[in-house]
Amino acid sequence: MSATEKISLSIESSALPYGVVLSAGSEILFDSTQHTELQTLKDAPALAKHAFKATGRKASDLKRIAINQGPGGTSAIRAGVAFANSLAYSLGIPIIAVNTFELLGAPATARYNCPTVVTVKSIKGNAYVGLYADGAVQQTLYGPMEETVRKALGEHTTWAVAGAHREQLITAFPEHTIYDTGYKFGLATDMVPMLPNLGSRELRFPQFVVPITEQSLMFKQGE
Amino acid sequence: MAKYVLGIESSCDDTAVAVVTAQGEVLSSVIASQAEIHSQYGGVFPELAGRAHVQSILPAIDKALLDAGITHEDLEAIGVTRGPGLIGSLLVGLTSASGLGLGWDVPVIGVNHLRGHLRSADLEEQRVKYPAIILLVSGGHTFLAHMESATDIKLLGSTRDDSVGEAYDKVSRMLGLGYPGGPVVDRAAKQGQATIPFPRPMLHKGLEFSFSGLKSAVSRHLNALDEAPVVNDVAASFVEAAMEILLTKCRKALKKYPVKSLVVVGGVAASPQLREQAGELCTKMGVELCLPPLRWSTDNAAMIALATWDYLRLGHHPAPVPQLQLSISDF
Repeated sequence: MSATEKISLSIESSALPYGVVLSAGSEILFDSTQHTELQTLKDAPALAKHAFKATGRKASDLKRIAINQGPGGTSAIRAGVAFANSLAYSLGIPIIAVNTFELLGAPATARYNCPTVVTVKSIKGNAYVGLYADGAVQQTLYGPMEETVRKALGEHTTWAVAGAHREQLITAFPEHTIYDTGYKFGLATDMVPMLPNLGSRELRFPQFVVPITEQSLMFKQGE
Repeated sequence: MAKYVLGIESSCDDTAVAVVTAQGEVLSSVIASQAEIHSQYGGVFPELAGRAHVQSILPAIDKALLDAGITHEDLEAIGVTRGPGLIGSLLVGLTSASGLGLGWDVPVIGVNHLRGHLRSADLEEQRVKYPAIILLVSGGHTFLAHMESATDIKLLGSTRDDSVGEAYDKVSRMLGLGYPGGPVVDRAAKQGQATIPFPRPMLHKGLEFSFSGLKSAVSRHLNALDEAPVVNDVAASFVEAAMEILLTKCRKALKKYPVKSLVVVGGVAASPQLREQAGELCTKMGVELCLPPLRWSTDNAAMIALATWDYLRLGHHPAPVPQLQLSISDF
């Protein structure tokens, strides 16, 4: 790889530790989660600066940015998305939104070869629920956790589970075959193998990434 | 040659971006207001404010640069509000500014929002004659400060509880007049008679303010009524009390500190009653009243950009990270 090769920046700011990854093709050049001193730094711009400094690269070397748009920690995702949007805008490069459902669902489905239910905690006993299968997110719903998972599953009785409610769901569905992935949060490194297939989702200003909220999922349900 | 500052303000419910020269010339000022979003709640809903900022900030940045007819290569720095304010709202502005700074290789300075308000009177032209007493009255702040110069500032007194703008908003909600409360309560007050003797908390105690008791007195008065209130009279009585508190403190400050001008800034500076009564006070006291145009009284990014030039001149470069507690004396 040449020092001038264009690189990608992937950001996962939905949970601690934040993940900021620089990659060239499938090669990871920098992963902030591998640096102990950066584990508690809740600051995507500062982590990105660390990444450039550590690799001797510059922001102008970037060819695209990928960002988790949620759902997850709302303020943290919003801050990460705002940073990623403005960095992409300033460099005139595309930005790609990846959601938590595919970020957790894609590696889990590849590993267990079955659909994966991904849940993210919300308020008042509600949860964001996504069903990942056949290389894509099939369902995204918001509502009371168990009831919404049941709705998302449909006829599936063998599935993997990732996210915030793994143990609770394994107990709640004793008649199902459920694989506990152990995945609680997404990893920015898991965005890297996804990037080559996400070209059609590249956004350029005046388009930009907007975080997923319960409102956006509820609206989608009502469509 | 770089000679402009891009200012970004997102501390509360307005997403604002502006381009300003070192002399205060405003090349562009874009404000995406969220008033419609928050009007149904009678005040700012922080979570919705943060969401709206994410949607508005990039288009506002792009428009501000286009309106100014400049590119990022013309920028000396980016100045962004770092506090005080709502954390979720501040973070959107701060991280957006950081992204621009990283991509364009332009320094990013975290600016004290209060310093921005103090400098708003000098936007477009130098109006403030120093030394000055400045009264900042808004939805988030109420205080009096002494300004020896644009950067030498001493706090004289601030509110111990609610800001006067907050009291306006809450009284407006009690009276069913909507949000934001300032303009509607002032309009109603003009039509009414100040017949209700609401209290003037801390009127004779130094230069500090208190508006919580006044707001509660309005609430108690309305709850005790057996019939529908005469809204205009309640508004007039509230405004009369609020003005007496503000103007009494200004008079005390002007007596204690010989200055050339009284500067009134912040959203409540738009109040016709305050502008009129401050004018009368200044005539009596022999000082000049300095009122910025109304468009610079409320939150805007041009004032942040102008304050950024002060930071550059003095070599203060606070990082663009949120700082919720900031005093007027902090850079």
